Amino acid sequence: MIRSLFPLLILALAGPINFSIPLLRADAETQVRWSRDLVPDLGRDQTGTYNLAGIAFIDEKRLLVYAVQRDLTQLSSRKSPEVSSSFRLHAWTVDADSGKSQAHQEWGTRAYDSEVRVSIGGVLVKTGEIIKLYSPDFQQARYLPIARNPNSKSYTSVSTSGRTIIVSQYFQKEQHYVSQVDVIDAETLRIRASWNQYPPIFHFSMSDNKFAMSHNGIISLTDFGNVRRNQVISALAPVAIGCAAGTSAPGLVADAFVVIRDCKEVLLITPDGSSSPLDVFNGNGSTAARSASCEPYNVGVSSKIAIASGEARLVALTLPALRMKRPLLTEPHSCLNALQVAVYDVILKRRVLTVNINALPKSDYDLALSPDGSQLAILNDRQVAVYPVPVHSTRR
Amino acid sequence: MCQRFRWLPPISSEGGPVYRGGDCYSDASNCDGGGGVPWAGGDGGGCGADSASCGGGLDANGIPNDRGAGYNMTGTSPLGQLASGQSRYLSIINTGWDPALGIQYYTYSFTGGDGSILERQMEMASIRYGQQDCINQSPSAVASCIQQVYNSLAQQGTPGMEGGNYDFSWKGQNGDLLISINGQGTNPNDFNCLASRCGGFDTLDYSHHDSTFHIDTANPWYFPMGTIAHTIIDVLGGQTWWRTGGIPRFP
Repeated sequence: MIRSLFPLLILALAGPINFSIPLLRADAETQVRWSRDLVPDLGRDQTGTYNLAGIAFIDEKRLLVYAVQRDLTQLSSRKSPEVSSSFRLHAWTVDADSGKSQAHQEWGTRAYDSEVRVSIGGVLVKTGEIIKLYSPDFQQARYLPIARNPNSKSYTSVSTSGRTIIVSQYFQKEQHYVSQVDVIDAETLRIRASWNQYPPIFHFSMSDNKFAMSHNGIISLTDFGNVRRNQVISALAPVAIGCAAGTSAPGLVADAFVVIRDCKEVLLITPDGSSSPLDVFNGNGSTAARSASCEPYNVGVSSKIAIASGEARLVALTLPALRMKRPLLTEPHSCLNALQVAVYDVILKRRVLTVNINALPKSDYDLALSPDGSQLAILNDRQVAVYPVPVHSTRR
Repeated sequence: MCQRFRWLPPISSEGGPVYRGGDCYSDASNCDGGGGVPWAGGDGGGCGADSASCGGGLDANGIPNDRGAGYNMTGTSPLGQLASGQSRYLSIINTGWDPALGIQYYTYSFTGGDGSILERQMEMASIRYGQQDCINQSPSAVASCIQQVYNSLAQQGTPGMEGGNYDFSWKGQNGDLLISINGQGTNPNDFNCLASRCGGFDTLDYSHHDSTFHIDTANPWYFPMGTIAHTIIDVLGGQTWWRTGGIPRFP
């Protein structure tokens, strides 16, 4: 009797293991499609404090890589109204299949005030306070039809679909600091809405109709131009926002979902307020294997989030793993022990890809998803790598 | 005594207040005069100083008078006493600092806010950072600096918290300076505070070399009171009692 039950006992014990294997495989680290050192040495040996580099997909076939470089051979000039300084913004159009450079352009810029974003109307380039929309080959350019306040500082955002551009001008109006927000159709460059935003907001995670904000654990959605009608969709508990890792920025996916990582989990929140966990997360310390390196942790790493612009409902988040140091008589502190990029399918409500970043970024770090969600690109200091994203849902 | 004015932040008509950011005020709580009049105007919020009710702070054109605190002992003659009294008066109205009594009259506070520990720590951090960066400027200018620091910090989302203190970033991952005051990025290393800690109590601490700063209850180098308070509250309390909730601050 016991002998006859023995195989059943083995099967019963093995059952959960068998069930767990596909899940592990689905989450397993994928192979890189290509990896190249595309960003030049940005002169980190000088101060290392002014670098800025990033990536974005123009379409499934083209990847945009940009970086700010200090070039001491470029001196100030008054020959043109463009920014003239020793800081140069470089942009390269790269073949997404091979990593080969297709086009290159550079502009004079400021040390910090450079932004490059991709919209369906072209590549949005901000150098200092000059904002232009370029064709993907950088041969043609258009100015945005906004009235510039000379005393303001501008910030740009582009919606996930690429159809909408927001320029936020931060300035002092009377005795307030406000944002003058202009919502622009990226294709026609028609201004869709304008308003003064108080409290000011600089960057937006947005769709073509609304933007998501997170402040002190309160997550809200706001329709463009209707800032006094914020819709609070979730309030994170204090214990969910108090940890060494901090929380991520919210990512708005097609008006229908907000994805945010708090101290305990990756959450999927819908506008009606319902939330469901996509993943668990330990914001108070690493459970990952300790690596030799432990870099200073900058919570800005966690703000890097990428959303597929097409029908695929994919979101890529950065998950830091921290090592906590709690000495007896001094204040505790943490360092970055490991870094993962996780891609989630918000329709299937699960992680579809994990990329472990083995060499921790020292300066520049960014990530992007291709419009159809089939590729994930990661910029890690000078290196750009593209990974295939496995099968995912494409339902709206 | 100057009256402290409080303005409420905008309240959304649906779902309650969303962004309950604080608004910064300075309060010359010890000066003589009538009710304070905030110099800010508009539809709620903003940062103001009560210096107008105390006789100064702005020049005739409404521009903040940025003369620093100063006090020159000019002798004991009647003319010298008059000059020293005038110098002291100018110092008080411009900076809130009484060089004779060694008292800082102006204090800065926020209105609004949701009262959470994160909000309070952010307000306290803004006050200390703004005061350090705009040191020796008029109260209205300092209040403006504080408000700008707060606006920058509020953009950072929820920062990391260790030992009961939220660590606010002053430098981004790319090396960009995150806290902009009057259009210029700021770096706390320019404050030149001893051991990278500013002040004896409610100390601005940027000594951890990770591009962040936070507020400590006390400076451990202020022996013995600061050392004891820092050890008990910031180190021991921060690792136990307030480890997950955060140390309460009272800006």
